[in-house]
Amino acid sequence: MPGDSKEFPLCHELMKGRSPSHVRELSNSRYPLAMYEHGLATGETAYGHGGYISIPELPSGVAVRNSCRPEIIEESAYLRILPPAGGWLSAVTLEKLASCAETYGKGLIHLTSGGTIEIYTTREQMVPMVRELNAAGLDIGSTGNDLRCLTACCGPARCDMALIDAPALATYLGQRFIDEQQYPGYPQKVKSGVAGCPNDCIRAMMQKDHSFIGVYRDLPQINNEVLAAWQEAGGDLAGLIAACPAGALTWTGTTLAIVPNKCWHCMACINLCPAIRPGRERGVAWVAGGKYGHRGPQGPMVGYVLVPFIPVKDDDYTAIGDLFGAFLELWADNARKKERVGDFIARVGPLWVLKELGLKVEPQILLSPKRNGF
Amino acid sequence: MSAPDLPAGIMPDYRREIPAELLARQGSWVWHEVVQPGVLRHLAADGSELLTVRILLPPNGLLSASTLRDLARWIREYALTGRRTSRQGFEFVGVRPEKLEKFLAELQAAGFPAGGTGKSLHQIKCCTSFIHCQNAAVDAPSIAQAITDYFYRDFLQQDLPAPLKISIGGCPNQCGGGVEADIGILGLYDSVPEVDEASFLAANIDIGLLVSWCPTGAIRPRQTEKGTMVTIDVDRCVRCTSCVQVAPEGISLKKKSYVAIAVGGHGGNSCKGPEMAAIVFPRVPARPLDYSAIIDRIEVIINYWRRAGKPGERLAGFIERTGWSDFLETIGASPVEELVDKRLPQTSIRRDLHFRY
Repeated sequence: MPGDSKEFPLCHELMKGRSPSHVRELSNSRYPLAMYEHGLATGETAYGHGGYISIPELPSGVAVRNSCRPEIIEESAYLRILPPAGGWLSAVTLEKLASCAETYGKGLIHLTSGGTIEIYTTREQMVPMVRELNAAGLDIGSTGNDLRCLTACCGPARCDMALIDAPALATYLGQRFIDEQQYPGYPQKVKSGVAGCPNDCIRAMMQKDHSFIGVYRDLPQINNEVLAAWQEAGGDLAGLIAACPAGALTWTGTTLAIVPNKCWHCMACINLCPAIRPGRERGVAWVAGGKYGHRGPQGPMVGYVLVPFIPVKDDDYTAIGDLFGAFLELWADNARKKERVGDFIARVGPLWVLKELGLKVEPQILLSPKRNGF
Repeated sequence: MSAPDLPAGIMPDYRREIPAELLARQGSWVWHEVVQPGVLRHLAADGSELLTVRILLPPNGLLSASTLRDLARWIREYALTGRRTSRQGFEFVGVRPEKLEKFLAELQAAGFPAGGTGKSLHQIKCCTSFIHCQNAAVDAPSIAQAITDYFYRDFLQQDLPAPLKISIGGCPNQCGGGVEADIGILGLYDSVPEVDEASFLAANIDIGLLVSWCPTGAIRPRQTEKGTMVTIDVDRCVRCTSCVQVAPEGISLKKKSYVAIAVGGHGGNSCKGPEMAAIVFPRVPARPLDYSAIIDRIEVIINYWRRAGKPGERLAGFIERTGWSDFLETIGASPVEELVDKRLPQTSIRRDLHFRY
């Protein structure tokens, strides 16, 4: 019990701090606090490897952890929900999650670091909970060797930098490839997401096996009236010019201008000054191979930029979806078992991937030509 | 009448979470400001505004049903909708300006004060570790709690040079993303996995997968009378625990663990593009709940950057400007030989003569 410091002294310690306490949340639910206390007390997790669950109606989105302390709990099962892209959660959805967790689970939800939502529960409650979630327009998936839930930044509904409607593209891909998220049939898990601009607030380029990043191809647009007002209000023009990593900003004597062939389209100046806005020719870059996990020959890696620009017009994402599907097939057919996309590309080579997909190798993706004659 | 088929095949549409009046303004935002810590104001070209209030959530995004209902109630009373952030925090979007002060006071009283925006310490992202994971070497949520409590002031104010993001991953899987952050913490194992012959043979392990999944080729099959066993080469093993995940029945490790502390990770594409964090303290004790060794080192790093960083300079940019020699010496980092990538030393050793003394 939360008040009983003798029973779970280390958990109790974690409720004493100034910042919001996860133990307070755990103790306000039916989560077995003794399991966490075991971990804190021994320095080892109380959960074990080898938990296996198979529910015929639910090939994905269900998982279970073995327990090393069966007298506390034999196992701990959980569902993984595919949330709306962009992190958007209305009051209705939050209340629905609360009631599902309470009625069919342990009264607790978990916002995962990967962008999904998990509810701890028991095997018996899984199908009834899923039916309740389905009735509310939610579903499960994204566990095991499948396509993981598509995530996105918040997009143009709130953000002033969004070059594309990131959550809309993530939703399109998530809906078109829903089977791939709910029926694990791949050699390994594959994670994908959509960032609205090169600021990449969701860090898709390094975190996702392959991702789409909103980009623009023409030059930033500068409004010199807004610039003057900005300077009047204290804006530092010299600092702004110095902040361009490419040295592409130049003062003509009367106006601010961009040296066309120097601009990196990196968003730095746009982030700093309201007078500078992105260009109009917008699309997505395709980046593949990101991974945080210290696994495979490559270990953690930032993804390779394979295609610098795929135009996006009138919210038609069909071509992007075609590429998405074709790449997943190519990887699934040719990867070794458990080979993440990043290790796969390093092994077969990015040029082979582009060739098999019928894609041109654009000069923008080149870091440097080879420095040997072979 | 039978129930509909499962799985139902639903990826929800995010637009359902956003009221029509906010969706109608989609794409109209042209600028934003941080009004005060935890409060963003987005501006449209026509002068209209959108207020966002960001709060810290408990580590690891754990929310009881009653806290979920509190969030919902606050949305209903004060805002248009809500969203979780990519760092496991929460935002109220479309806060009514006339109710802002009352809302902030109510959040403060409820123990969820606004903060973590702009040049503040942001929500500390972390994995699940001992709360629910079988692979954890250390407990990221309690480390996150300790760091958040210690540096809480920096969440509520914005006098750092630039945003400060700290992420914690409890094991080599790095679900918590230690490698992505200005300051990253990586849970690691000290011990090489061991093979228990009897249980390994009894478990009928997929030897091919086991051997191929070892990233350094440390695992070799070995024929015995009783069946195929494997040996683990301790010199090649990097203790990534891939083998333990393939063959938990037969391979285990004594769970002696520690953390590494890394700096300078970031997303975004100005200057050098996205970069993974670089290890500066490869071995720091992290036995729950004594995290003083971690906090001491993080404090030195933050204080140096706070003191000498230029406005807008993320930690990576600061280190680039001042140089690794200077930075490592000032923070009292481990000796250089402990920081060189053992597997790919060519990525760690300079090939130019740009020496800074």
